Amino acid sequence: MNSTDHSRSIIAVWLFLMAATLLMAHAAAWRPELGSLGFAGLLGAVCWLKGERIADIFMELRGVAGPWRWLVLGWLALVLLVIAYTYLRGLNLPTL
Amino acid sequence: MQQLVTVRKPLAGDLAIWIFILAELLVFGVFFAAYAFTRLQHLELFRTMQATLDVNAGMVNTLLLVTGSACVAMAVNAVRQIPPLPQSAEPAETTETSTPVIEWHPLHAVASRWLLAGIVCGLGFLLVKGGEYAAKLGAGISLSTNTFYMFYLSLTFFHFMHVILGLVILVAVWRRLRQGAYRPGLPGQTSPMNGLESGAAYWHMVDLVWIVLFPLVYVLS
Repeated sequence: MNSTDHSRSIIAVWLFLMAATLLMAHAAAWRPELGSLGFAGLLGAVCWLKGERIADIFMELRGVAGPWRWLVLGWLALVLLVIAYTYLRGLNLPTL
Repeated sequence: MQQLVTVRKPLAGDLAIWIFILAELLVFGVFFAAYAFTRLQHLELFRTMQATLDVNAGMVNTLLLVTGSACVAMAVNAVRQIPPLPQSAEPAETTETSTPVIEWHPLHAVASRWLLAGIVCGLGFLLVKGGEYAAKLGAGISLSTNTFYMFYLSLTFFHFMHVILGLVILVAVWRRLRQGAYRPGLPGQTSPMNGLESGAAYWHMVDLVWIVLFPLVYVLS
Protein backbone atom coordinates (compact mmCIF):
# COMPACT_ATOMS: atom_id res chain seq x y z
CA MET A 1 0.00 0.00 0.00
CA ASN A 2 1.48 3.38 -0.96
CA SER A 3 1.47 6.46 1.29
CA THR A 4 -1.55 8.11 -0.35
CA ASP A 5 -3.61 4.94 -0.02
CA HIS A 6 -2.53 4.60 3.59
CA SER A 7 -3.50 8.24 4.29
CA ARG A 8 -6.95 7.49 2.88
CA SER A 9 -7.20 4.37 5.06
CA ILE A 10 -6.27 6.38 8.16
CA ILE A 11 -8.91 9.03 7.39
CA ALA A 12 -11.55 6.36 6.65
CA VAL A 13 -10.77 4.57 9.92
CA TRP A 14 -10.85 7.86 11.83
CA LEU A 15 -14.30 8.69 10.42
CA PHE A 16 -15.51 5.19 11.26
CA LEU A 17 -14.16 5.45 14.82
CA MET A 18 -15.83 8.84 15.33
CA ALA A 19 -19.18 7.56 14.05
CA ALA A 20 -18.90 4.34 16.06
CA THR A 21 -18.10 6.32 19.23
CA LEU A 22 -21.18 8.51 18.77
CA LEU A 23 -23.29 5.41 18.15
CA MET A 24 -21.89 3.72 21.25
CA ALA A 25 -22.42 6.75 23.49
CA HIS A 26 -26.07 7.00 22.47
CA ALA A 27 -26.78 3.26 22.32
CA ALA A 28 -28.39 3.35 25.76
CA ALA A 29 -31.28 5.36 24.28
CA TRP A 30 -32.17 2.41 22.02
CA ARG A 31 -31.89 -0.17 24.75
CA PRO A 32 -35.69 -0.60 25.15
CA GLU A 33 -36.02 -1.43 21.45
CA LEU A 34 -32.87 -3.56 21.27
CA GLY A 35 -33.36 -5.45 24.52
CA SER A 36 -30.47 -6.27 26.85
CA LEU A 37 -29.02 -8.91 24.54
CA GLY A 38 -29.23 -6.72 21.45
CA PHE A 39 -27.74 -3.79 23.35
CA ALA A 40 -24.79 -5.86 24.58
CA GLY A 41 -24.36 -7.42 21.13
CA LEU A 42 -24.28 -3.99 19.49
CA LEU A 43 -21.70 -2.66 21.96
CA GLY A 44 -19.55 -5.79 21.63
CA ALA A 45 -19.64 -5.77 17.82
CA VAL A 46 -18.83 -2.04 17.59
CA CYS A 47 -16.06 -2.41 20.15
CA TRP A 48 -14.53 -5.35 18.22
CA LEU A 49 -14.68 -3.45 14.91
CA LYS A 50 -13.10 -0.35 16.47
CA GLY A 51 -10.30 -2.35 18.07
CA GLU A 52 -9.66 -4.35 14.92
CA ARG A 53 -9.39 -1.16 12.82
CA ILE A 54 -6.97 0.39 15.32
CA ALA A 55 -4.79 -2.74 15.34
CA ASP A 56 -4.79 -3.21 11.57
CA ILE A 57 -4.53 0.37 10.30
CA PHE A 58 -3.15 2.56 13.10
CA MET A 59 -0.83 -0.05 14.62
CA GLU A 60 -0.17 -1.40 11.10
CA LEU A 61 -0.46 -5.01 12.22
CA ARG A 62 -2.26 -6.29 9.12
CA GLY A 63 0.13 -8.41 7.06
CA VAL A 64 2.90 -8.16 9.60
CA ALA A 65 5.34 -11.05 10.09
CA GLY A 66 4.93 -13.11 13.26
CA PRO A 67 2.07 -13.60 15.71
CA TRP A 68 1.68 -9.92 16.68
CA ARG A 69 -1.64 -9.25 15.01
CA TRP A 70 -3.18 -12.38 16.50
CA LEU A 71 -1.81 -11.61 19.94
CA VAL A 72 -3.40 -8.15 19.96
CA LEU A 73 -6.69 -9.27 18.38
CA GLY A 74 -6.70 -12.37 20.60
CA TRP A 75 -6.38 -10.10 23.65
CA LEU A 76 -9.29 -8.00 22.40
CA ALA A 77 -11.46 -11.06 21.69
CA LEU A 78 -10.70 -12.60 25.08
CA VAL A 79 -11.46 -9.40 26.98
CA LEU A 80 -14.74 -8.90 25.11
CA LEU A 81 -15.75 -12.53 25.69
CA VAL A 82 -15.10 -12.25 29.43
CA ILE A 83 -17.12 -9.02 29.60
CA ALA A 84 -19.93 -10.58 27.53
CA TYR A 85 -19.97 -13.69 29.74
CA THR A 86 -20.28 -11.70 32.97
CA TYR A 87 -22.88 -9.38 31.42
CA LEU A 88 -25.02 -12.32 30.27
CA ARG A 89 -24.64 -14.01 33.66
CA GLY A 90 -25.96 -10.80 35.19
CA LEU A 91 -29.07 -11.03 33.03
CA ASN A 92 -29.91 -14.38 34.66
CA LEU A 93 -30.65 -16.08 31.39
CA PRO A 94 -31.86 -19.69 31.83
CA THR A 95 -29.09 -21.14 29.58
CA LEU A 96 -26.21 -19.63 31.59
CA MET B 1 6.96 -24.51 -11.25
CA GLN B 2 6.08 -21.07 -9.99
CA GLN B 3 5.76 -20.64 -6.25
CA LEU B 4 3.62 -17.98 -4.69
CA VAL B 5 5.56 -16.37 -1.85
CA THR B 6 3.74 -14.08 0.55
CA VAL B 7 6.07 -11.36 1.78
CA ARG B 8 5.11 -10.30 5.30
CA LYS B 9 6.02 -6.75 6.30
CA PRO B 10 8.15 -6.17 9.39
CA LEU B 11 6.67 -4.96 12.66
CA ALA B 12 6.45 -1.15 12.84
CA GLY B 13 8.61 -0.12 15.80
CA ASP B 14 11.05 -1.76 18.12
CA LEU B 15 10.53 -5.35 19.31
CA ALA B 16 10.99 -4.22 22.92
CA ILE B 17 8.10 -1.74 22.75
CA TRP B 18 5.81 -4.47 21.39
CA ILE B 19 6.71 -6.80 24.24
CA PHE B 20 6.00 -3.89 26.60
CA ILE B 21 2.67 -3.25 24.83
CA LEU B 22 1.64 -6.90 25.23
CA ALA B 23 2.55 -6.78 28.93
CA GLU B 24 0.45 -3.62 29.33
CA LEU B 25 -2.49 -5.20 27.52
CA LEU B 26 -2.24 -8.21 29.81
CA VAL B 27 -2.40 -6.01 32.91
CA PHE B 28 -5.37 -4.05 31.56
CA GLY B 29 -7.04 -7.33 30.57
CA VAL B 30 -6.79 -8.61 34.16
CA PHE B 31 -8.15 -5.28 35.39
CA PHE B 32 -11.12 -5.47 32.98
CA ALA B 33 -11.88 -9.05 34.00
CA ALA B 34 -11.72 -8.11 37.70
CA TYR B 35 -14.13 -5.21 37.03
CA ALA B 36 -16.53 -7.45 35.06
CA PHE B 37 -16.64 -10.23 37.66
CA THR B 38 -16.97 -7.75 40.55
CA ARG B 39 -19.80 -6.03 38.70
CA LEU B 40 -21.55 -9.41 38.52
CA GLN B 41 -21.47 -9.63 42.31
CA HIS B 42 -22.71 -6.05 42.86
CA LEU B 43 -25.07 -5.55 39.92
CA GLU B 44 -27.41 -3.04 41.52
CA LEU B 45 -24.59 -0.94 42.96
CA PHE B 46 -22.76 -0.82 39.63
CA ARG B 47 -25.95 0.03 37.71
CA THR B 48 -26.81 2.83 40.11
CA MET B 49 -23.30 4.25 40.25
CA GLN B 50 -22.72 4.04 36.49
CA ALA B 51 -25.71 6.34 36.08
CA THR B 52 -23.78 9.00 38.03
CA LEU B 53 -20.98 9.09 35.43
CA ASP B 54 -20.83 11.70 32.69
CA VAL B 55 -21.20 9.69 29.47
CA ASN B 56 -20.68 12.82 27.38
CA ALA B 57 -17.27 13.41 28.98
CA GLY B 58 -16.36 9.79 28.24
CA MET B 59 -17.56 10.22 24.66
CA VAL B 60 -15.56 13.44 24.15
CA ASN B 61 -12.49 11.70 25.55
CA THR B 62 -12.96 8.80 23.15
CA LEU B 63 -13.26 11.23 20.24
CA LEU B 64 -10.07 12.99 21.40
CA LEU B 65 -8.12 9.76 21.69
CA VAL B 66 -9.15 8.34 18.31
CA THR B 67 -8.44 11.71 16.68
CA GLY B 68 -5.06 11.80 18.41
CA SER B 69 -4.30 8.30 17.19
CA ALA B 70 -5.25 9.22 13.62
CA CYS B 71 -2.96 12.29 13.79
CA VAL B 72 -0.05 10.18 15.03
CA ALA B 73 -0.66 7.63 12.26
CA MET B 74 -0.65 10.48 9.71
CA ALA B 75 2.68 11.71 11.14
CA VAL B 76 4.26 8.27 10.67
CA ASN B 77 2.83 8.09 7.15
CA ALA B 78 4.25 11.53 6.27
CA VAL B 79 7.75 10.50 7.38
CA ARG B 80 7.47 7.32 5.27
CA GLN B 81 7.28 9.52 2.17
CA ILE B 82 10.71 11.03 2.84
CA PRO B 83 13.41 9.46 0.66
CA PRO B 84 16.01 7.36 2.55
CA LEU B 85 19.50 8.77 3.08
CA PRO B 86 22.20 7.40 0.76
CA GLN B 87 23.99 4.25 1.97
CA SER B 88 27.14 6.18 2.91
CA ALA B 89 25.33 8.50 5.28
CA GLU B 90 24.86 6.99 8.72
CA PRO B 91 21.24 7.02 9.90
CA ALA B 92 20.62 9.35 12.83
CA GLU B 93 19.18 6.78 15.20
CA THR B 94 21.89 4.14 14.86
CA THR B 95 24.67 6.35 16.17
CA GLU B 96 24.95 6.58 19.91
CA THR B 97 28.29 8.31 20.45
CA SER B 98 29.01 10.15 17.20
CA THR B 99 27.13 13.22 16.00
CA PRO B 100 24.08 11.90 14.16
CA VAL B 101 23.67 12.69 10.48
CA ILE B 102 20.38 14.56 10.27
CA GLU B 103 19.02 15.82 6.99
CA TRP B 104 15.89 17.89 7.36
CA HIS B 105 13.15 17.42 4.76
CA PRO B 106 9.98 19.56 4.32
CA LEU B 107 7.88 16.48 5.15
CA HIS B 108 9.43 16.51 8.61
CA ALA B 109 7.51 19.77 9.19
CA VAL B 110 4.28 18.15 7.96
CA ALA B 111 4.84 15.14 10.20
CA SER B 112 5.70 17.25 13.24
CA ARG B 113 2.47 19.23 12.80
CA TRP B 114 0.47 15.98 12.74
CA LEU B 115 2.29 14.77 15.82
CA LEU B 116 1.68 18.06 17.59
CA ALA B 117 -2.03 17.74 16.80
CA GLY B 118 -1.93 14.27 18.38
CA ILE B 119 -0.25 15.72 21.48
CA VAL B 120 -2.91 18.45 21.72
CA CYS B 121 -5.64 15.76 21.58
CA GLY B 122 -3.88 13.89 24.39
CA LEU B 123 -3.71 17.06 26.48
CA GLY B 124 -7.42 17.59 25.79
CA PHE B 125 -8.08 14.10 27.12
CA LEU B 126 -6.19 14.91 30.34
CA LEU B 127 -8.14 18.16 30.71
CA VAL B 128 -11.55 16.50 30.32
CA LYS B 129 -10.63 13.57 32.55
CA GLY B 130 -9.12 15.94 35.10
CA GLY B 131 -12.41 17.86 35.11
CA GLU B 132 -14.29 14.61 35.76
CA TYR B 133 -11.98 13.73 38.64
CA ALA B 134 -12.33 17.24 40.11
CA ALA B 135 -16.13 16.97 39.96
CA LYS B 136 -16.11 13.57 41.68
CA LEU B 137 -13.62 14.60 44.34
CA GLY B 138 -15.59 17.81 44.87
CA ALA B 139 -18.70 15.70 45.51
CA GLY B 140 -16.81 13.84 48.22
CA ILE B 141 -16.25 10.70 46.14
CA SER B 142 -13.05 8.77 46.73
CA LEU B 143 -11.62 5.26 46.38
CA SER B 144 -13.30 4.24 49.62
CA THR B 145 -16.79 5.48 48.67
CA ASN B 146 -17.88 2.07 47.36
CA THR B 147 -16.68 -0.87 45.21
CA PHE B 148 -17.78 0.74 41.96
CA TYR B 149 -15.89 3.96 42.58
CA MET B 150 -12.86 2.02 43.79
CA PHE B 151 -12.78 0.34 40.37
CA TYR B 152 -13.76 3.41 38.39
CA LEU B 153 -11.12 5.65 39.94
CA SER B 154 -8.29 3.11 39.97
CA LEU B 155 -8.97 1.75 36.47
CA THR B 156 -9.40 5.13 34.80
CA PHE B 157 -6.50 6.66 36.74
CA PHE B 158 -4.25 3.76 35.71
CA HIS B 159 -5.19 4.56 32.11
CA PHE B 160 -4.75 8.29 32.79
CA MET B 161 -1.14 7.61 33.85
CA HIS B 162 -0.59 5.74 30.59
CA VAL B 163 -1.88 8.73 28.64
CA ILE B 164 0.65 10.90 30.48
CA LEU B 165 3.47 8.44 29.69
CA GLY B 166 2.32 8.31 26.06
CA LEU B 167 2.40 12.11 25.89
CA VAL B 168 5.91 12.24 27.36
CA ILE B 169 7.04 9.78 24.66
CA LEU B 170 5.24 11.73 21.90
CA VAL B 171 6.79 15.05 23.03
CA ALA B 172 10.27 13.48 23.03
CA VAL B 173 9.66 12.04 19.54
CA TRP B 174 8.21 15.37 18.34
CA ARG B 175 11.33 17.27 19.46
CA ARG B 176 13.56 14.89 17.48
CA LEU B 177 11.19 14.88 14.52
CA ARG B 178 11.41 18.67 14.25
CA GLN B 179 15.17 18.28 13.88
CA GLY B 180 14.71 15.78 11.05
CA ALA B 181 15.77 12.74 13.04
CA TYR B 182 13.46 10.14 11.48
CA ARG B 183 13.25 8.87 7.91
CA PRO B 184 12.82 5.54 6.14
CA GLY B 185 15.90 3.32 5.89
CA LEU B 186 17.36 1.59 2.90
CA PRO B 187 16.85 -2.18 2.66
CA GLY B 188 19.19 -3.87 5.13
CA GLN B 189 19.62 -0.78 7.30
CA THR B 190 18.37 -0.59 10.87
CA SER B 191 15.23 1.46 10.44
CA PRO B 192 15.89 5.10 11.37
CA MET B 193 12.13 5.33 12.01
CA ASN B 194 12.09 2.92 14.94
CA GLY B 195 11.77 5.64 17.59
CA LEU B 196 8.84 7.31 15.85
CA GLU B 197 7.07 4.02 15.09
CA SER B 198 7.60 2.76 18.65
CA GLY B 199 6.15 5.94 20.18
CA ALA B 200 3.19 5.74 17.79
CA ALA B 201 2.55 2.07 18.63
CA TYR B 202 2.48 2.87 22.35
CA TRP B 203 0.04 5.72 21.78
CA HIS B 204 -2.27 3.46 19.74
CA MET B 205 -2.18 0.91 22.59
CA VAL B 206 -3.43 3.63 24.98
CA ASP B 207 -6.23 4.30 22.49
CA LEU B 208 -7.06 0.58 22.09
CA VAL B 209 -7.39 0.14 25.86
CA TRP B 210 -9.77 3.11 26.10
CA ILE B 211 -11.88 1.63 23.29
CA VAL B 212 -12.74 -1.22 25.70
CA LEU B 213 -12.76 0.88 28.88
CA PHE B 214 -15.29 3.46 27.65
CA PRO B 215 -18.21 1.09 26.91
CA LEU B 216 -17.37 -1.15 29.87
CA VAL B 217 -17.38 1.60 32.49
CA TYR B 218 -19.63 4.29 31.00
CA VAL B 219 -22.14 2.60 28.70
CA LEU B 220 -22.69 -1.09 29.61
CA SER B 221 -25.02 -0.73 32.56
